[in-house]
Amino acid sequence: MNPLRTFIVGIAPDHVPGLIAAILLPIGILVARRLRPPHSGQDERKKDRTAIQVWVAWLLGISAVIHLALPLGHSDNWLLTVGFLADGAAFAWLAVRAWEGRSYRLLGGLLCGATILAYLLVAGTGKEDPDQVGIVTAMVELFALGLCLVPGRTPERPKRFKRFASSTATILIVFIAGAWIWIGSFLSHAAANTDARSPESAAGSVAGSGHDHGHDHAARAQAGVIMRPGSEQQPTVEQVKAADELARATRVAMARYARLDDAIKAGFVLPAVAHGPDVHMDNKANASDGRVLDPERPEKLVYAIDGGKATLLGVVFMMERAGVPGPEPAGSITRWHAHNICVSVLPPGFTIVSAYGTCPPLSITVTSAEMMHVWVVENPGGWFAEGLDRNWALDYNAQHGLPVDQGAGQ
Amino acid sequence: MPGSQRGGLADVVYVICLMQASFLALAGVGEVLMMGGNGAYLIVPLVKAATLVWLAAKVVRLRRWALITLIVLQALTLAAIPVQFVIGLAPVVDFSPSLVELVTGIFVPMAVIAMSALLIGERRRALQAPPNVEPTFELTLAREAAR
Repeated sequence: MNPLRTFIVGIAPDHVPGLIAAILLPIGILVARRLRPPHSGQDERKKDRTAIQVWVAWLLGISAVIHLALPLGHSDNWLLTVGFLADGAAFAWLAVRAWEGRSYRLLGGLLCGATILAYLLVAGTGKEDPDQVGIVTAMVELFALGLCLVPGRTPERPKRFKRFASSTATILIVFIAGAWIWIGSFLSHAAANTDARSPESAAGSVAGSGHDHGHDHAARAQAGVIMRPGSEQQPTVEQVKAADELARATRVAMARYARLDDAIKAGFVLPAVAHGPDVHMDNKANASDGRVLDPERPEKLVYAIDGGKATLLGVVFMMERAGVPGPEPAGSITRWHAHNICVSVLPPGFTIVSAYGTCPPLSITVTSAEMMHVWVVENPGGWFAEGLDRNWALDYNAQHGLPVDQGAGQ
Repeated sequence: MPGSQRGGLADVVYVICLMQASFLALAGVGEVLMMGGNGAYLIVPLVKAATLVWLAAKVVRLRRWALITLIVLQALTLAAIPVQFVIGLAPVVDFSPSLVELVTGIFVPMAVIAMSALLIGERRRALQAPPNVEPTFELTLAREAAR
């Protein structure tokens, strides 16, 4: 996917009205202030308003309009609609209070805390795919919560303990919320795969390929995984046939790499850590040969290597250029994904982008080319599952693995 | 908006820095997990997070050097964006920022730079105020810092 498409995919269609409302808020405020007649009492209040009150008013206002607009995208559930409207109205009321210089800290802190908790219960437990608008809204509320929690410092009353305690709480809450959303995005991803597992898929049928999702899962948190939205339509007979053909051709072609040593001789390179349930071996020649989705020349092989045994589990087909979408001969069954990763220099290493879209210091963020797994062993997820269960892969290797020559896979 | 009251702009910068420290800690923990539990990957994120919190505490006291150092740190964060864009021109990788990345990588650092610059200006004005003027919050802080 190109960068613009990737950006758009990160925003759940249900949440677009909320995002538009947040963007329109400053314009609405500007128009309202122009239309309002001059009032001397307002000017007096403005003098008394502190920077924190202004920021809190804006942050609560943004959260208010987002929640008030969300029912436009979630109109199918009346209970959710009532909840969003009540939450939005409460945020708006507190935003006005903060703007007018009245007390807001206690109620604002409680409302922000409760809303963040509700979001984490839904998005952090895999029930909903966290998306960019949801995460940004949570960040806005976390910021408002921090401003409500941390008391302002005055030279005559430094409130050292209170500031230390509330600052520590702010750091911890932001950390825990981010970690929870991050875990939730992976749980949602795993749930999408589990949903698709059917008795047919257990037998290795492409119909239960791990991509035939009951709901659209697109890894919209974009915290490590970037996906194209899946098609709502069921695969056609032709697409199922095409998927079957691709899986069969790959199995037949890869039979020659059943032994790890044969793969090494053919130019596949073991990584530094050549041990575990999913050891990926690159082939540089295949990666730059200009061929796409060629069962004879996959860009990577995936082995389980453990206890002196190795099993070829599958292959990874990878596009040569990042940003270029991979072909989908079998529609939503053959679904590609990419990874947004952080490459750090001190110490050299890599990780995936966090739920807050951040990387460690001294690192850069890049998005890989699209890739797709095709498994050559029958597994519970099907031929096109995005990943295999770690324990399942190790057990399979223990039962079916072939001995590894000395020096390889140790 | 007078900055001479409790709850000034410096407190807003303070809370943003706390959030940025959390972001760094989370990214660092993620890298430790990805690199097989190697704790060495947590050193740089935690050092930067601690530096941010320390600078934030000094910013609230309107220390000029802290405001300038914070501006430099945020500018370095912003400088990563064009670097990533150039690297993204290579065929094998792409630079595709998400909405959240734009907020944390561009909007937040720019907001901190703007507010820090405003605070430096406020501090200068407070120090230049004639001595018979009733001491305000910023003036008290600025005089404290100047001492």
